[in-house]
Amino acid sequence: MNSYRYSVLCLFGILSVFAITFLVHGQSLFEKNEVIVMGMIHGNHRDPGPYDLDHLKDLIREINPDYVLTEIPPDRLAAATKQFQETGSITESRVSVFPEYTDALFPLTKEMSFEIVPCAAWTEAMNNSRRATLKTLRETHSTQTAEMEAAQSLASENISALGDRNDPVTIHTQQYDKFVKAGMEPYDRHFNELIGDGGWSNINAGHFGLIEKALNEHQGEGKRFLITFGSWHKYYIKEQLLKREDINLIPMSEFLQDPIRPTGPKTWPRFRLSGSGNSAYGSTEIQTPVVTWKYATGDVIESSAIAVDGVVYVGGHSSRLHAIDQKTGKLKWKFDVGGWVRATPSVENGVIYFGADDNKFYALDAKTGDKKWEFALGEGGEQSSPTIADGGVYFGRSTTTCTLWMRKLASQSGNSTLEQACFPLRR
Amino acid sequence: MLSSPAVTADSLLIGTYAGKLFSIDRKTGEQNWVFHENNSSIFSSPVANSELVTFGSYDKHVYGLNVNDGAIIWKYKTDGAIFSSPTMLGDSIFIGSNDNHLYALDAGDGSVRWKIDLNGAVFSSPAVTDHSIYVGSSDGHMYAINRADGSERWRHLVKEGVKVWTSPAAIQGMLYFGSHDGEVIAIK
Repeated sequence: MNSYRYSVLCLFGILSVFAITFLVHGQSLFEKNEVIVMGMIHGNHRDPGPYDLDHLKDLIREINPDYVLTEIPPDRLAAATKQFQETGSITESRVSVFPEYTDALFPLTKEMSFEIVPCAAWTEAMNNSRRATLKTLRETHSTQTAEMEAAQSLASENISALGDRNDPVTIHTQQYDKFVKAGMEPYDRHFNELIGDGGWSNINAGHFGLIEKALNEHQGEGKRFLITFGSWHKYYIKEQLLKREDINLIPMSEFLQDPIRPTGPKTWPRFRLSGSGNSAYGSTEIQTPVVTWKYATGDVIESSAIAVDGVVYVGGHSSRLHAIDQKTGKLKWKFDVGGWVRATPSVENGVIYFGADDNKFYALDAKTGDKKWEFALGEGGEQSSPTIADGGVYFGRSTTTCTLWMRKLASQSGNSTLEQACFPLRR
Repeated sequence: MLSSPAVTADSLLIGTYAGKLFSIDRKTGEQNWVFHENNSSIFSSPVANSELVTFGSYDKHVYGLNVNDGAIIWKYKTDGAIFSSPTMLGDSIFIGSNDNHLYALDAGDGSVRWKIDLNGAVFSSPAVTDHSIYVGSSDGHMYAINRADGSERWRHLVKEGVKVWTSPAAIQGMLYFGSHDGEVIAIK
């Protein structure tokens, strides 16, 4: 674009802003976008801990962005999106190395309305070329290689001294960025030019070019942008963003200040938590107990409550299964049965299983409470809390004819025939 | 409350009203072994690691069995029937008894590390976190006990005379549990 046309366009832009400003009685329509930079740890998001996929999802929910700028190359996003829509999973070769996208961000598109923007300058050719060049450089530039490696391992040591390297609190400190920058400096200084497009500063500039494009396109809209790149790219992106006056850069640390940062389970899907029977996990520590809500079922509760995906489920002598909103304590749905629910229910893959003193065993859609199936157990009595393993649901009963029950669960397609078996356990 | 099956790498373990504890092969459904000390019911749900299975009995004992053959390694007698299910963490076992106490036992020999009087029968099964044990009592309270030494951190009164037989779901800095007065409570 030549400078004459540019100034005309600018002038037109300024005039139209004036015109609109006038129409809204002097209020400015320009509202700064908010930008948050979140450092990702790729495969390590799969490890249980404070930055696992569940906690990552919660952070994104809390940030609630309008746009998520991703380390996905533009040509790969369409394929990945199509795959996700058709099959519910992503095998596209580049995107599938980022569990933060395949297992957190894409699944969140079902419940949130942000737009995914591809901002990676990465190409396969660039990647291959960088790898080949680095291999040669290791031989021709051995001193520089040694300096590069020493700096990187020092960065790694410094970060470990700072805290858990897989903890988002550690990752989003200024010291972390400082250590990474120092760690990458010799690599960048010696090899950026020699590697070309895939060099450290070059690829960072490439990524940032796409980030800028997205920010420019939506300038002044008052929207929230979440930038998700590998945590070692974070310092560079932040340095560039700080030069812009049209945005508010919000520190990621603001979303990590909850005094109780649970590292324990996100769900409690059955009596005593796990199939091995242990209810030991995590760091839910309550200093001074405060009741946040109460929900009256109307009759004695002797079975335990479970909590999955924001819903607390409980049975009781009310002869009813209650699904209660975990946050508000309000009833979401209830399901009436013909007898006490004395055993704790169990949730697996969106289905809740439980038995009742009407001598039936039930499977309901955990979200809606719609019945998927029930089956009659015959005369007997109390049942025990079900355990799910090997595609079967197992539970005990107080009868001598059939003490341990097993019922095979339908495959996800729903086509397989249900089988059941009982073990008298009488010897 | 009846015993709920526990899953190990290759078996299912379940206690029965008739006082037996069964190990069932998960693949074949065949019985691996059965433990039968007396006719006291096993309401407690077992918990197992690769060596030990532990559970409480109506006969007041906590048992530690060899998970591979069901042989008794140790037993410890409390002063009340046991309905509570144990939690095993490392070499510690936590379990309640109707003698009003919560116990921490050594998983190696069943000896008592500490116990605390919770002023009512402990039907509830303990939920254990990094530093605490959350457990209900028939005295109407939910208790938070210091895991290391068994001292009380706090107690929360649900209602005077209302039994808390249930176990809390302890997630995301919250406890969710029901009680005999029919209310589910969320505590933070």
